[in-house]
Amino acid sequence: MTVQECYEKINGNYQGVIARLMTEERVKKFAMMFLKDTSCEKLQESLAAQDYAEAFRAAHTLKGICQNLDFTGLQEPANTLTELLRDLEEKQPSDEEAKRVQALMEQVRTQYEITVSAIQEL
Amino acid sequence: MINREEHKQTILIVDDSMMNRSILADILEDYEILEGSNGEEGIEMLEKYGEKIDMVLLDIVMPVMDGFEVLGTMNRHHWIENIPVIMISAEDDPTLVAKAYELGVTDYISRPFDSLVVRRRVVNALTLYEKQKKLIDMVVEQIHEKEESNGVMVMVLSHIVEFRNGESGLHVIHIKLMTELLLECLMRKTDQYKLTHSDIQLISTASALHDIGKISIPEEVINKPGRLTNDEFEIMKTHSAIGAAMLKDLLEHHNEPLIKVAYEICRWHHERYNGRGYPDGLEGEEIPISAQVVSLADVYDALTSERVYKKAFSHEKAVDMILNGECGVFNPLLLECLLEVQDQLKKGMGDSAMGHSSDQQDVRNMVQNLLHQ
Repeated sequence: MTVQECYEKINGNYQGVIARLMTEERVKKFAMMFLKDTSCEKLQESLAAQDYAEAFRAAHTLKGICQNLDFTGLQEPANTLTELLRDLEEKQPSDEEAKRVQALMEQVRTQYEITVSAIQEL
Repeated sequence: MINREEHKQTILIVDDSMMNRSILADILEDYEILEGSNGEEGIEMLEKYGEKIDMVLLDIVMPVMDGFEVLGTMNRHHWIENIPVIMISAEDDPTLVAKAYELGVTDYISRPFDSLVVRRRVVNALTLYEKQKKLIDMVVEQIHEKEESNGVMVMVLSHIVEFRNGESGLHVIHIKLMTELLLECLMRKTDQYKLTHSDIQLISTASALHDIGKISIPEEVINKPGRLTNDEFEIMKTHSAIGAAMLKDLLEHHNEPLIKVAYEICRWHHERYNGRGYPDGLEGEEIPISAQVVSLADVYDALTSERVYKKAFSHEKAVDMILNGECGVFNPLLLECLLEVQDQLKKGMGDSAMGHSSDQQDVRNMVQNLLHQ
């Protein structure tokens, strides 16, 4: 699979990333590195432990990486989750908020798996 | 500028995401790269490498210690003044951007960043800082040169006075050396006088001018073999006020610290701590510390030098006489200093007598030639 096909599959912005990072070689190199990134696991574990401060930082990191690589499909739910967690840092979420966090985490997880499996085919 | 062969510039990247660090390192591949995965590691790097680090790229949201805390620490240690910081963050909240600038960052780059923009801004900031460093170095060098040539001129001038007085020129060298030793000791002992190293340099340089007023004392009084009569002594005593008056005219047009200190020393280097000196009978701390130190040095050197009417006393005898109050009363703190620096003093005086200090030897030869032409 080409880098461009991969970006189509994961709903990424291929034109954008090439414009910013200049070469397809560099984009591919960092897309491959994404496979080793642990921020999504960390996010999930922190949420399970109800450590919202740590979860916020992990979501923030994940979002930043997605921005750098123009993984738009993953960046959008990661971004929404980051902003929701930012407000929860100092307090315990209400039931409703907890449900929203849960739902967003599932979206992130689904999109994360799509992204990882596409990159593995590069 | 970027790729100076002899020295690659070093950039510290502090970001909790290994991927982000790698992307930045990749974009900046022609620089030496250091990495920290949170604020604490960043600070450790700064402590370890100091100003070998030419720039910091800093993330905001990080575990353990965030970017703002790093900036706070860099401000407390004044590192931020010499090391440019570029913030790179996904945060685009204007209040956070404003806060970063307030804490002294040079630039703020939002994620997702463009590799060309990152490179360009890094190069620009490094170039600016390098220019600034060069300018600072140039100014420091010029000040140094100015001080040095000031010192030479003062030496020439004071030697002219010395030779007219029939002295060897060693007297001013001794006074300068002793003034420096006493002041350095005093600075270690107390912060009462708020002395800095540059104050000490200034006072030592100015000390050589303490007797310039003697230029207007008649030759037959100055060079009289044997003791002076009371009348002659009264004439001799005017030299401190005359020297000060010469400088006071200068001060009206040139408010130079060197002239100001020289004025104090000229006027008051014969005052005594108990108010029994001349010309103004100032008492205790009314006498500027510059003049207090030079008067002690002047007395010591007069005692340990040979005069037409007396032999040179030994160092030990001179110190005894001063401590016994035979030459008037001095600041007790300065007497403590005299005892503390006496070994260095004995050694320094011996060295200068043998002409070890080559700069001063040159000046002495020059003046001697001038006077003999």
